[in-house]
Amino acid sequence: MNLGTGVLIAVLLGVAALFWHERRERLRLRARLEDATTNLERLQHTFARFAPGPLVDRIITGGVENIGEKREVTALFADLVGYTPLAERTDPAELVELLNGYYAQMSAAIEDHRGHVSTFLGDGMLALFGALQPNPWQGDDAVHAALAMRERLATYNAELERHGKAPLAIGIGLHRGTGVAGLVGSHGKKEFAIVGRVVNVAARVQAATREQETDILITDDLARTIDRRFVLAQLPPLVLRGIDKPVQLHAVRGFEP
Amino acid sequence: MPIEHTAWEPSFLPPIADARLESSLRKENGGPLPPGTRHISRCPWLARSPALFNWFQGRLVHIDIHLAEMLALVVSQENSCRYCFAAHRLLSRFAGMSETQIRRLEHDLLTIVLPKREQRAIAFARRLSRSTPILTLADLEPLTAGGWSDMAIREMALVCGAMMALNRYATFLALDPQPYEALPDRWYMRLLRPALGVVLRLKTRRGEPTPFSAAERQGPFARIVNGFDGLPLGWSLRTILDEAWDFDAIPRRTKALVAAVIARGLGDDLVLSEARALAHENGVDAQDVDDALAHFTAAGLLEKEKMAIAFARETIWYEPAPMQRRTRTFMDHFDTVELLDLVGFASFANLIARLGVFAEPS
Repeated sequence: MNLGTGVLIAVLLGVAALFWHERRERLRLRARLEDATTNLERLQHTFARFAPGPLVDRIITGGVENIGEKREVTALFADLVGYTPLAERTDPAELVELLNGYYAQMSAAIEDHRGHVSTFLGDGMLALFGALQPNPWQGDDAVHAALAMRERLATYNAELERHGKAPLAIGIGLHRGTGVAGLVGSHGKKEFAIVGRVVNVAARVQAATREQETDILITDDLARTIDRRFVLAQLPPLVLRGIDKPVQLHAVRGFEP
Repeated sequence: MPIEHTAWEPSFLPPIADARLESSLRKENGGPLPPGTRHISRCPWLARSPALFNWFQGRLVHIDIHLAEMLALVVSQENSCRYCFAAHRLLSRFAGMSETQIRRLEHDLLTIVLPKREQRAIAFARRLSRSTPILTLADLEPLTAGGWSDMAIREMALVCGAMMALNRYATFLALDPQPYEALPDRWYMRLLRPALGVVLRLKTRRGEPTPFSAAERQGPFARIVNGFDGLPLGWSLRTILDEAWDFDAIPRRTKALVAAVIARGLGDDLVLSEARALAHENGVDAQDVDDALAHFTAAGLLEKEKMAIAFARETIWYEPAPMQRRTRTFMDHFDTVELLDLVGFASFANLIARLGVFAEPS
């Protein structure tokens, strides 16, 4: 073999090694890209459970911007009655277990009726209907969810009593109206939320369940839109804190199919 | 998550062989029938629908088969339909697409290497499948800007619309995806794929413009369907709707209410008003229509009708396995033919109520 042939073979081997290295690098990068895309896709699907799909798409393509739009929603506010003394007399680990069991039951009742839990606030929770997808039947869904929460709480209480624990009680307030849907928060932390009077009224209505000694109260704005088969008891108009005019409320007794 | 990992219930409809029907469908389909055909053969119009929307058989004029197949894959993925995704994965493989390309499409990666106008077509397919909210004229602008003609856009919409309907009934009836999913990896299929690909390409026909006759411009939801006048797939849609409307396992009035509920859920006022009128023409009192649309019940409705319209609402947005369990419970109240007619009609009503943007101007 002369020098020229040797050099040629060396060059060919070098080119082959370079080609092989490049190919391996390309495959490695492609695998990483596909992994990253799979993760991104999973994140997108997860995110879509907390924010409307089109909003998620806009965030992905355009980044987090000041997105806001008016939307008709039904807000459901639920709160544990007598939580403060309960928290004081219960072991912290036991309290967390109790709360997690309670939240699991309530969240299932809400999701079974096409709502989504927007926020947990200590012992309270805000659920929204019609926020993620347009839903003309949101009123019926929300009141059915409230009744399902009542039923699930009774089952959960029976389980607590079997373990020698005190039963829980809830107050639920519902209101239907227009809110502003958007990404709300500081630069470092933003979340999808509905803000506006609709949420405030639902919270005030929930607070009124204590003085009215009932568990589910809805506003007249919601009552006028729901199925007549819901059994309601009309209450005298109430002045709610922070709301300028007295609000007509109804206690929800049940549903007669 | 790969689509084949989507939870899917076992098929609950028994297969029923109907030699005469299968023979005529094979001719129309230009080859073997989908494996789910026997499960839906009791409802002939529904069993015919895959053949009517088989775009390998001269149904495309303005877009090519490759794009149609990509759109079919994207829509099936959006709807988590394992059955249709696997079917089109197989067809796409025969049509020359590699497994890697299909996987990338599934992950939306292919859009990176596709020409801009095809990327826009795929984005449109995803947007149409989600329909939250339904399409407006603004959603068509990127396609027009990308150089797609008006008729090409309408043809794409029909390809996507057909898949939205087929995805729905295949999913609700839990048609078994296994035969399709397993096939591409069989050793004999690997061996035969090139030859089968050549056969498929040889048998593939381009379509011809198909103007509607005066009679074809009439019928339920004519304003929407007439928006596709001139397209072979538009003719397929007119044909399937007429056959569904004439098949009486589920009465017309119930079908009209089913369409009205779906249109209301999606916010399509045009389809809603036509469906209302159809319900009224077929004997539903106007107050009953209002009550049915508001709360899925009305004094003048039969129990089965109340169940049917409550079911219609569920077909708009759903997850496969819970929806399959829900559909199976209907076997206690509806016989097989009624169930197929109901599920099929609700599936096509979802197509109609999502394509209102293409309606013929009044």
